[in-house]
Amino acid sequence: MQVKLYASLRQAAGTKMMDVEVHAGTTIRNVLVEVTRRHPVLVKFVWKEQGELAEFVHVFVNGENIRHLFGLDTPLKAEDHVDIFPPLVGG
Amino acid sequence: MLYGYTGKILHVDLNKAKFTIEEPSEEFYKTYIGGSAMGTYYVFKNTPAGADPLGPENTLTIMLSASTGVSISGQSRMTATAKSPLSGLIGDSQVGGFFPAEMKFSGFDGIVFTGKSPKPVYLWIHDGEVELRDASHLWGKITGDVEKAVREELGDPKIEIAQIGPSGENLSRFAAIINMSNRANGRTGMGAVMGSKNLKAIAVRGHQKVKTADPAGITRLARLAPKRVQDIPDMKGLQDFGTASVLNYQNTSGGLPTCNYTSGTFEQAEDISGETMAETILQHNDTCYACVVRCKRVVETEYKGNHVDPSYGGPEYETLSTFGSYCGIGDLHAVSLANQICDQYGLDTIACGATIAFAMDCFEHGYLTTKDTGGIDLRFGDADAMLAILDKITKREGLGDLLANGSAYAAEKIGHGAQDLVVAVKNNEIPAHMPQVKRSLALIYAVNPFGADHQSHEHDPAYTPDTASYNLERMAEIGLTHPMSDRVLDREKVKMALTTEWDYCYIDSAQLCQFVYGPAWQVYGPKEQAELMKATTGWDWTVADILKSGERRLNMLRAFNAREGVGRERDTLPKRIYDEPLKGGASDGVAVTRQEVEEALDMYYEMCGWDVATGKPTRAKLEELGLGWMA
Repeated sequence: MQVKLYASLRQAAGTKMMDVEVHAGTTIRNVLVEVTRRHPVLVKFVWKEQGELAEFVHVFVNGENIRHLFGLDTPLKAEDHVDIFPPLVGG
Repeated sequence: MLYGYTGKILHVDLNKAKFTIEEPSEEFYKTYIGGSAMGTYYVFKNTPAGADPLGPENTLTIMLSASTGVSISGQSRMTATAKSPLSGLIGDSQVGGFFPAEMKFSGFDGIVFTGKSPKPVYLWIHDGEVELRDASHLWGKITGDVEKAVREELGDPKIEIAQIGPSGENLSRFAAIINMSNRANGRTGMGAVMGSKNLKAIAVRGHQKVKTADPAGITRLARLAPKRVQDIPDMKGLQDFGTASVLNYQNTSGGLPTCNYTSGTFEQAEDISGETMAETILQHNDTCYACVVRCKRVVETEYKGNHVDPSYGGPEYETLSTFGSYCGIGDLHAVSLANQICDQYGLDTIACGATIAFAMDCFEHGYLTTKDTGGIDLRFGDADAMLAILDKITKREGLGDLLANGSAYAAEKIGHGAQDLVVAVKNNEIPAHMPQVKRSLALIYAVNPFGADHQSHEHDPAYTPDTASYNLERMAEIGLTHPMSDRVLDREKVKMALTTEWDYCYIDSAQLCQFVYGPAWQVYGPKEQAELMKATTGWDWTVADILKSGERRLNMLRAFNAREGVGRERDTLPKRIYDEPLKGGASDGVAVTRQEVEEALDMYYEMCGWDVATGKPTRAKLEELGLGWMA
């Protein structure tokens, strides 16, 4: 499953996308743990200390913000795509 | 003592080449504060109802405010106001750069132009001295060439120039006023008004210092900015990627207008994104006077042998969208070239790109043919076709002559159902923030007095239950404490839209930058806006004063339109937004309903204290705001 990073997350990690293995029962939490394991520099962007999602990050599964789905327990399939953004504005 | 301001408004009678310097009272400054509100004051006073926007009875104002030229981020801004040739209603447009600060240093808080010069002229202001100079040798020249010529003629490379390009001269209804050759008073056709007066440019240079009431207070506020720009993620993104930073996000969430607003998702979004710009054609950032954010882009590239010069800056998010996704074009080099052409000829990139997208849609529907386009196969996705028709617009040639008036005017002439393809409110093309995805835009686009505008209030993502706490703390400063989903348009959302609209109205009169000052993610929140006004002028202002000042500006704009006989009947969205659900991506199937907008209008007018049936400010409300003279 493809995970894409944007803006300062892309800069920090030095990559714009990665492939992550997804099996039955994989949730977005598992995927984010893997992403930050591969790129520890992203930990401060993605996680609060208690293992909750940082308030500055937006995580989308197939274009839907996970906060409108099941949060970190949102289940994933191999054909899904995940996009991770920091807060962004523009006029 | 009057602090912050110069205390002088310059009146220029272009008929007679005559100058008058007005020195308003402090009470006048406290009531209208500058920028949009002060500009509207003079336009209302000087221009009768029913006047031709491109006739000599129209008034054009250029207004600064108290903090313009002060050493703090985000204060070098000015507003151009006049009756708009696009809408026939109030026209209003802001810009940044170095011109506003230099104009303050040259000795004036504002300029009011009336009449029409018998021949092309430019205004030269230097340290309080004013002169109208012959501009016949500049007429027809593009902005970059005029900047060089005027600086050489006047013998000073530091002169700042606000000017119209050839499109303002040939009265394109969406012509802009350009300064630095890359900053635009873009919207509502203020460049056409300037052109109708045979006024080519305003050149300014000065050394007058801005006296503030509490210089230490200003310094304290100013020193907060550098760290906050690094610590507030939204601001860091602006610095690193410019306004283009939001393009991929908009696309992922189904909110990037594509193919004339038929979809919110564009397959080639990544190719025209801020990230791709930073990796390929970006040369460096640029900024405005004294601002540490540095959100402006400077690019260099070429498209099929046409060089894109860094002196014309680089495309903002709106431009990347209107010449990119709106037209189905994923070529960053072509879009950058289009941006340059708009800067050279003085065109609003939002209106221009959106009008070309409308024309493409007409062609795809068969309402226009190659006979109409002069042989151009004007289809979505064709960058060469986009640039070819843009060339015709700049020259007012063939179909370009029609399109230079904007999509609404063009649709009337094209017929065949072309009106159903217009995506505009009050003839102002809708910007690249979609009301289907951010619901409060459905209301604000409808009610904004000068047409659809995305910089008139805070957008929905700043007020959801999941919004970052620092955003919500700022919103609480203006009484907003019940955040909700961005796809809802209920009473609380209407309250959010109106209250933040008042704050943005204040910002556009205090002449502050909305990327630095605002009610949510910006560097400085509402309390600090009041602190800045107090430190500059000595007036003991609070957040309540900020919002009252903003409410006054909104009512002034609305009263101008009421005098033109216009109210609720033009507070409506185009058919496409209601009747054509978006196709594909995260916003597939989403549309705005007429019912929710009508219900929101009722609530909005009621909260404004206006007549709900007509949408017009009541006499009682105007008198409450000291505006009884506008009733």
